[in-house]
Amino acid sequence: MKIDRKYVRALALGATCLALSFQVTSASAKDVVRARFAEYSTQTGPFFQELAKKFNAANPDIEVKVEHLPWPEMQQQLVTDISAGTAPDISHMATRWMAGFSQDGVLAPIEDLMSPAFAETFVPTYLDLQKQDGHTWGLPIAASARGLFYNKALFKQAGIDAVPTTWDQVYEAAGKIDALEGDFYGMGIQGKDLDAEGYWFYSLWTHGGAIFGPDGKSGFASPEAVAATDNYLRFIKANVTQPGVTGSSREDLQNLFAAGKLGMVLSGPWFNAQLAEQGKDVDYGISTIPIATTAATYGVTDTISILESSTVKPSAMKFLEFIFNEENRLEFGKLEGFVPVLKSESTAPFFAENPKMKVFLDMGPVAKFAPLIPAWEEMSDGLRSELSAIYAGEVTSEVGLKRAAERMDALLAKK
Amino acid sequence: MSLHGSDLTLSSTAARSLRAAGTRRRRSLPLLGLLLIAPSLALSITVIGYPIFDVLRMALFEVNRFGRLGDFVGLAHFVDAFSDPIFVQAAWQTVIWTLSVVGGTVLISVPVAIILSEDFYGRMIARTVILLPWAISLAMTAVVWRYVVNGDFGTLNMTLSALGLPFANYPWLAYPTTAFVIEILVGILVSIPFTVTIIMGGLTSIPRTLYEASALDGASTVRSFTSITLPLLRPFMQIAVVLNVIYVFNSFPIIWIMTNGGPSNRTDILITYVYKQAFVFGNLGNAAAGSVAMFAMLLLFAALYLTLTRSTETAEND
Repeated sequence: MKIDRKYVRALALGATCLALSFQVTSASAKDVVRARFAEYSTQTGPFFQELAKKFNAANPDIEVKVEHLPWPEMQQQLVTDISAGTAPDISHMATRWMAGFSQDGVLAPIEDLMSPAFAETFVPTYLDLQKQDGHTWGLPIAASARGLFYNKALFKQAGIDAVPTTWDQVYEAAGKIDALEGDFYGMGIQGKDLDAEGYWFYSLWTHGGAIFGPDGKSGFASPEAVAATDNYLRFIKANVTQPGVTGSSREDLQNLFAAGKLGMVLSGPWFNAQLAEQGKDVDYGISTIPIATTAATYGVTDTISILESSTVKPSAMKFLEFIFNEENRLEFGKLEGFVPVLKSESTAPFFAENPKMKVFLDMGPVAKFAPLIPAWEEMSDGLRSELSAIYAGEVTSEVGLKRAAERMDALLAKK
Repeated sequence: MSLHGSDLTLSSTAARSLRAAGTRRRRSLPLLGLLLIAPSLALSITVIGYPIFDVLRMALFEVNRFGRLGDFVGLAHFVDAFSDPIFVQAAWQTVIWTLSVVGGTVLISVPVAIILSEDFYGRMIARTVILLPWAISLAMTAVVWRYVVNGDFGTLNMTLSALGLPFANYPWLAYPTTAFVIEILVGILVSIPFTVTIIMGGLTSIPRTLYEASALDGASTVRSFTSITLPLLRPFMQIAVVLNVIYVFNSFPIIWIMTNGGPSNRTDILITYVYKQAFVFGNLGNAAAGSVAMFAMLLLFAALYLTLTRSTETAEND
């Protein structure tokens, strides 16, 4: 027995020493930075992995580990990881989630972590969107504006000479394309899933409407909003859209356009990349969002932030500055087709001289953004649901929009 | 009827003697027995009990979306959830969904199981084909069906229009009714393998001799089906129904992937509602209240099932 006990004690001591020595070595070694990215395409993950490799080689005291996930899983995964205390040091997110996260205190303000001149390299509009309550909560990793994609061959076939710039012209053109022999549809209207409300904002903003009314309450039921909705309804009623608006997601519309069956669709610069791969035969052009009274486009950014729980914030910031240096950022912008977020990028020939990118740059000044308020997801879901009922003809625009506005106001009052 | 009755006496005598043997064993070693199952009992209570406790706690306290608890709010989350018209709508849709999928599955599975228990050429292939949907993940099945019913590129419309039917680009998932019906059909499809397996197990437990004897007595096929097969299958059908109700009631991937609960929440069921509340809107409290309500409903169902089976057991013993 005695020997046994001694043996056990020695073993325990040995194990403790071993554990301690591991602890010591890991503490004295590199800062490990876990960076999580959402995938815009199959190339996003490998791109950042390659960047991390370069960064690690140049910074022997830091080791960046890149993780990448598909967009639909990002939000839930991040929330779960934060609750469990296993959040990464850096995480990519939609800017509208950032609003809630920063209020919950899980993000680190980065204005004091950034090098002095770094903030100056950004296009102010996009960096300003990452600021709230006097702090900067992240960097704009992606920015996009939207435009009107039109099929040149179908335009020619239908005898449309000028690219439509107003909704009335689009309506007329859609009718002509829809009347063509074969399964062609005039204008795509989205009624389902991610960004279905964004598709409605194009019409809302170009009719002079706004998400918030002058009284700070919902602007969903304003006369402009009703006019904007009736604008889409006339397309649906005249049957010049794709069939089943309430069943069409953004991908469905993009697939139809890429298959050459859709005359016009509103989408963003990323769609160029899809068309280059799947729509090689489609000869298309991009123009500004059609207007009724006001020029506008929908601007969206995504954010990359440092989490409050990170113990290696300065090293994490160093990696972020590396991602956003002139060379790396330009490469990323070209790869995924996003609008420039750095001043230096805007003048690069890829953006300034490429007709398929230029229109998005030109519309930058009229871009409007979704509000950064914590319950926005729930408000926009209510709106999506009502829009779908309106497009299906179950309720009138007035009734449906009033309900959506009431829901938004109730949520505003609650928070 | 006489056949049926005699079989019951036989089986209940056997059951009684088995039960008696169990009682004897229990009486001889009660403490040791308890001790031996204590670790697994403790493990089950922790693994099963803790999540229930946690959800209950979230339902009664203020909670942020990371699960951090705040003040006690009593039934406020329940009031919030129950006064949400979408919750009520989703609850009704859950009832329709569960009844249709389970009902449809049982209706189809019984004849399929009977056919598959017959001896015929290629039976193994037929059995494999029936069990195949089980081997594919639910999420993948849902993705594939979403493509199949796609209005413009789906194979369903391609087939229908090739047959000369006017469905060239009919958008099945754009309308709540057709979308829900399609989801129910997919739900039935994926529930069939499990149900057929259970019922086939039940069929093999029915002694061949019963059919032979009834045939000698001049019973028709229909009569032997209604008087032998169905009554003796009852316990297996009960298991199939109860387990299917639990699975289907809580089934998430089909609806989430095919329609996301849309259009206009018209295909939302409670589980998709709760998921949206928790992970899309960050209302963990409302989601927890919804989950507790779902848990209560299933508990009620399980209790109902237990009383039903117990009453038939006592009836058999009397």
